[in-house]
Amino acid sequence: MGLLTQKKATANTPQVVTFIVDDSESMSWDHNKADQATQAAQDLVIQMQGWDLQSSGFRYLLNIAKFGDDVTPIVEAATPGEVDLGSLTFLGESGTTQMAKALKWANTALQKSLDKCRQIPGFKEDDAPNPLVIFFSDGENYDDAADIISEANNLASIAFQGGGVDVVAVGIGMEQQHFKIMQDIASDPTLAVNIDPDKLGDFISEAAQTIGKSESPKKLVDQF
Amino acid sequence: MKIKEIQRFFLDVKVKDLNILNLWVLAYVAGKRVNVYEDSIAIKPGFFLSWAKNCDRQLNLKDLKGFLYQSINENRIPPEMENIYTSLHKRRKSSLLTAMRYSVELYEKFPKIQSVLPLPDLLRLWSSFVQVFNKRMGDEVKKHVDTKYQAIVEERLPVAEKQLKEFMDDSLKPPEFEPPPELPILERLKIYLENRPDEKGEVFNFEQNPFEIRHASFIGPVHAQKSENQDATYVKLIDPGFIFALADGVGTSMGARVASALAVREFCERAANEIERNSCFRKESLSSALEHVHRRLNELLEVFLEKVAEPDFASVRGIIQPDVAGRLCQNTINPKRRHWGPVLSTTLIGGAVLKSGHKYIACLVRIGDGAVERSRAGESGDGISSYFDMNEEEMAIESSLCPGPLGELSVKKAEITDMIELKEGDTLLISSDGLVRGHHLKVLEILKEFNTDFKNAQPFDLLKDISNRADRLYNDSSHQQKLFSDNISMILVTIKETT
Repeated sequence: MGLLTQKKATANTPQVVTFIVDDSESMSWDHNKADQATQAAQDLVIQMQGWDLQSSGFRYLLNIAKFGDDVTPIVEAATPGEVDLGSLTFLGESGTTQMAKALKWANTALQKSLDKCRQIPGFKEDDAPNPLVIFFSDGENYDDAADIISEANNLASIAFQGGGVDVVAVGIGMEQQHFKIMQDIASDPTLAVNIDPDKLGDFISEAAQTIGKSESPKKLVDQF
Repeated sequence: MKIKEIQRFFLDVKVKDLNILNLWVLAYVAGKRVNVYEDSIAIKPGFFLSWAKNCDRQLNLKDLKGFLYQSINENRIPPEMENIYTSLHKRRKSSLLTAMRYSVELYEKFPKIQSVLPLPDLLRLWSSFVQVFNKRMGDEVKKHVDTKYQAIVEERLPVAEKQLKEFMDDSLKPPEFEPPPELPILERLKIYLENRPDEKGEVFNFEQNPFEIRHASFIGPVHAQKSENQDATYVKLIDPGFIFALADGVGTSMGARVASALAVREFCERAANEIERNSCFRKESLSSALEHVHRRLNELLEVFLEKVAEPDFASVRGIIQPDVAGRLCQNTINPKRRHWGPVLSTTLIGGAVLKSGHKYIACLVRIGDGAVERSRAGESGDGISSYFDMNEEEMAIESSLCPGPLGELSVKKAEITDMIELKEGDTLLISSDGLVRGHHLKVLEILKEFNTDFKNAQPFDLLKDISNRADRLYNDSSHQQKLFSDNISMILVTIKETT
């Protein structure tokens, strides 16, 4: 389980940030969830580009994917400046909700990102902020729960000398009986939250502020 | 004459004699430590003489200015000068070009000179001016120089030096070097970016002047991991004191380096003009100067909106992609996305320090952060007072000078002091937040810890030295102690004691 820390992201101690967003058909139904996710994710990347401006290296590495029947990676181990905003769109047309594959992708992408960080001369893993994974889903999972829990445990167990991986699991207006799995996905049960679907954009926007200010993800979750 | 003496003269003299024009050019270039080799090789003395001949063909001052500012109708360029025109404007930095522009601005400003020094003669003066610097080159280059021109310079130089000495005792108004007001904003910016006395360090210390002023800006320690210097400082001498400005570009704002460079120059020029026009100082002059900077930033943003996607602006965009850059500019004008910071954003501390009879007064204005301290011998509490404080651990600033409505609001809410009385022996220090970071002392205290003679040190060397030592501390403390972890800049003023 990751520790909740407030270390600062710098060129020598970059932070790996992973967003996995449900793009199943239900995301295109009411509350404009897919549109909210698109706008907010693009805003996030634009802000992060600004944060990297005066740095001699990169302060963040991003992994972003959407999932449904399968996982569609949008960026892997990329700096904010490398992200093509045009490809950062969610349409709610990826089929059903298969969480295990998404978590498995996150595991691979996160490892790849950490390997990239470890190539930086002078990289100080002990002083780097915990990798942050934020997993969004709005509906019932179609995978076997055991598979999901297994992949979630693998993700949260990734070795990181600075502490551990923080996994925040965000239900988007989920029904209560489906939300239990989100508490299993989160690296700590207190990092699972079920938000009002109209607040998805706000949540991603506040997540950006949490990242930029190197604040605890617990503080982000508590706001919602 | 030593370079420093020429520099002193340059800043104190007033127009009285035709040869002053020649001296200004010499002094300016000497004072700016021009890269003589690079510039003089590109412009042979014959260039000026060719132009002088072409004046007979109706080429005029406007054409010459256009040639220097790259705005001439190309049909007007003499064929033999086309190559020079191209190569002159290819150079990103040319002190020689700056000196020539300066000289022609002065020439244009004083019609009396024009009536007795026709343009061809001005150009012949420039020809001999270039020879002065050819003279200072190594033997390798000297062989390219026609000895006839060297003889002209040899003849002129003692006369010029004699006049220099004659004027040294007068307390006179310094000449102005500012781009003409109608110059487009990008041209102004180019001049400002090419002329950064703070990035080498500048010292004003003249016998007739009661103030000793040192200022510089530096990228900061290596451990701060900054990709460029976004701090800027500038000082403008006026009668009877000076205007100063220190700006710290907001690191997450696109175009921060150009914003700070523009802000310090425009603030000082405008405040100086206001004071001279009113023949007295009022606090409103500083507020007016801030409003003027805001207008200039708005002008610059308009240009950016049009051109920011162009390759020439890649260094301003940094890692920001062109389409995003456009969106950020639009959001600066109309801030719908509250978390997107404005572009061209900088902090600014500015002010005026003046001698009034036997008194010395100062007035300061601040938008954003940075510190101003005064030390006075014999006062309690180590004799250091702060006019603007800041929290050494607070990274975010509450307001900044930028285009658009957010900048307008910041100007309205700028902190401004009442008139401050200073005394002989006082030291005033203005610094950006970089020098405040990583310790709990006053900036004057920590500078003294690092260098007990910091008040006499070359300012750029001082900043570089303390950055190096901060890096050593960082490494020796296993990266725990991060001192001055940012761009650093300072303006240090001493009011001399009269004997």
